[in-house]
Amino acid sequence: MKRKIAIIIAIFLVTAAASGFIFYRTNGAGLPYGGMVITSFFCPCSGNWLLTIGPPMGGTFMYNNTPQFAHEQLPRVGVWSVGLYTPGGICLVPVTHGCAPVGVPKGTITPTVGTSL
Amino acid sequence: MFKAQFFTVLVFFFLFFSFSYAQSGFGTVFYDDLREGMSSPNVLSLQKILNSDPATQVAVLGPGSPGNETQYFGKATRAAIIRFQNKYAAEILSPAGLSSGTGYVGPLTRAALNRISLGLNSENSGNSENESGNPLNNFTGQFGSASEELHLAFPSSYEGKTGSTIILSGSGFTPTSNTVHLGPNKIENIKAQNSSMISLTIPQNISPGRYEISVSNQKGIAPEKSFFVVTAPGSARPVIEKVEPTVGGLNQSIKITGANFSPTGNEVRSNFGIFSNLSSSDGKTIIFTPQFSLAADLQSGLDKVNGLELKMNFYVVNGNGVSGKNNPGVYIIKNI
Repeated sequence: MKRKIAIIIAIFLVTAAASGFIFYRTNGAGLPYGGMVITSFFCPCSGNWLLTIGPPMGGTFMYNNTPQFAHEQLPRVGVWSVGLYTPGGICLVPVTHGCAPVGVPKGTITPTVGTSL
Repeated sequence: MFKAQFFTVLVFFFLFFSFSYAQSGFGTVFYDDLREGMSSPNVLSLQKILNSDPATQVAVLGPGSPGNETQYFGKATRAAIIRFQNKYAAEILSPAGLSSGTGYVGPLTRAALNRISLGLNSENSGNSENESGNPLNNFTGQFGSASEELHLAFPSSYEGKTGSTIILSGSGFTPTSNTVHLGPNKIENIKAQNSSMISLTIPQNISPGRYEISVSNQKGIAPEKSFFVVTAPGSARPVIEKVEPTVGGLNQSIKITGANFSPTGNEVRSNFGIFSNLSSSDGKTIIFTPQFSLAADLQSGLDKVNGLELKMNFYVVNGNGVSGKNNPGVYIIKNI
């Protein structure tokens, strides 16, 4: 009986998670940001980028090599970028023994992003 | 027993986040124009935004109605867009010199849609101070007011003929007396639509070619520069048809095959840097070896992160224009 309940719950769990994910992918939900890329730092251990975006809606963000809308110019310094981000993200850099996080990103840029050329 | 409790907690966790996403707004950014007859996922998002306001609802029942949005831009969507444009006339129609909606979703309409989609200043349709003419420019309207610094962000288009009109986005534009520098040419006494938007018509006396754009006014000169290509009548923009190889390392020489490349002065603008002064002896091929500014770090990442791929997107710019916005060249950087 417990096994059946566990299976039912697991199916429900996967469905709930998938529906949330699909909604997320479809609508690109997230928080808005926008400004000029001021610094672009590559994180060799995590293979992503720590970007500093300037005003008007800037901050420090992770860019994970995700697809972009036109003109797809992240992570180049000097381009203007606007889009959505989701909280969280990590930049890992080499240290003496392994890798360690640097920076405190405001979030991670989602694929719902466009840039200037 | 523990497993059941664990799963229950996880179910609530996932349901919470599913609900959170569902409540977090439209979140769509419209980067491309839309018109009647088109089918695309963006039309679905467009209809959802239109249906969020009873005054701009696509349909009351059936296809296009709330909950039944479709990907097809038909007559009902066009009619709803016209109502939307008329409602937000101050930011969509007035800057374009129009008195009634057209049903075409161009840059000004997209800017208004993006502003609403992202939840920015959603009810200030009568206040043009924070409005913009480019989707990216939803954010430049957030800069501030009269005391804001002068900045140039980007033009609405990077190429056009003389007589064409572009919108420059930025901040700190003054109501009158802005000067746009198009290379050595000064276009003076330009009025701004608002502090973050200038509408510029390219004068007829400007010769075809690629120019740097900057803006100045009584606040000084904007520290940023952009570029614009004044195209000659009958000229055709560069076309990227093939990239060889498509995958390789950081020191790889890349060959672009296409059309309308200039003998000299081609520029490849990529997300990994701008590579200038590239020649094309036959007008059909450009060969270049990118010099990456972070080459050592990038190579370290390629070595450390198994399967890491870095996508380099690029456009060719020359006096003929800019290669297609929706068709960038692509080179995948990876260890092979």
